Amino acid sequence: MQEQQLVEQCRKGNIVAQKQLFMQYKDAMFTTLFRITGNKQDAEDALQEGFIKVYHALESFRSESSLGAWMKTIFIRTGLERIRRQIHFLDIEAADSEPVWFDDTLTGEMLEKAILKLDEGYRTVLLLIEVEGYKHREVAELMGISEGTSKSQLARAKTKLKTILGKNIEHNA
Amino acid sequence: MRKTNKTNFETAALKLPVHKASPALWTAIESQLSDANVTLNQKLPTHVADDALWHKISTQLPQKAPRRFNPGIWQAAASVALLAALGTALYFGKASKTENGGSSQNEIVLLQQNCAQFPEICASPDYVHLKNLLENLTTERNNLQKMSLQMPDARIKQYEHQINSDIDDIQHKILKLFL
Repeated sequence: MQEQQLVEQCRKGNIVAQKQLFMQYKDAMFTTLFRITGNKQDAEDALQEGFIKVYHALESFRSESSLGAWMKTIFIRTGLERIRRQIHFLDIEAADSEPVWFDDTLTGEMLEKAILKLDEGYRTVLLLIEVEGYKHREVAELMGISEGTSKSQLARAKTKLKTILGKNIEHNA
Repeated sequence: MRKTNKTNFETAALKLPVHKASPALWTAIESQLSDANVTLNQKLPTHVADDALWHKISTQLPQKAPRRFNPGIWQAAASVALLAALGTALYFGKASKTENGGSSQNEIVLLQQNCAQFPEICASPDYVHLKNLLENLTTERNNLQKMSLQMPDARIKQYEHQINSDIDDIQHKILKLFL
């Protein structure tokens, strides 16, 4: 089923199309939510909540962006709502996490483990900018912060990530 | 407004309390990524969502809008009549199941009649899946009923009730496919 056809059928309440939409996007959205929330349970809850929002909001989808990009914004907002109370934009001095141990080869899993060790504010900005490809202006709008805060949080997130990874390098040396 | 250029970033890095961490680590990560011609997104692992979540989501889906009056009203009326017959049969089938342990063969026959009217729905993976489930469950329930007659046991009855409930749930889902 083509994307436009899929959207039309979902709007009409065709459960087969709705399930196809779920199957097509569930893993990508779950992965994003897992990185934002930092745990499986919250990611699953946000996934469920996000899909319900998507099905109800499909009437307003205007094909100005791809369906995937439009959906991702909804899921990211849902994930952010879930962790909003936990987000604190820390000062550099206050930010310190437990190290993540790894060998000399940096795999995706190790990198993700280190990213998950970041505090929510740092992690979210880093993910949205470096992983999801959003611009600072968009992150600012999504998170309700200024562009300046987004930029400084990204810089600090990278510094912190270096720290977490560096501790391991020193530890293994 | 705070200026956040590269100089500030490096200055901030120097203020860190602990580490002499490899200063170009992020660059190394980026370099590793660009060497391999992959993005950070591709480098990070993908997580698989549980298929069972669909069950929770499907119970909260928006319903289809009611049909409007149009030239195809007679076809719609015929469909509604057929669905009503199916719904009634399912209802009485359920009543008779609890009273005398009747089978779901009537429901299956009616489903087949419905499929003559809506072949595209019956060809869908969801329909095939639900129909197979329905057939398996009715077979299992019939076996349990036979067993229960020979060897009455509260646990068998309880299991039978559970299966009946599952059957009702599946029948409801099948009906939704046609609505």
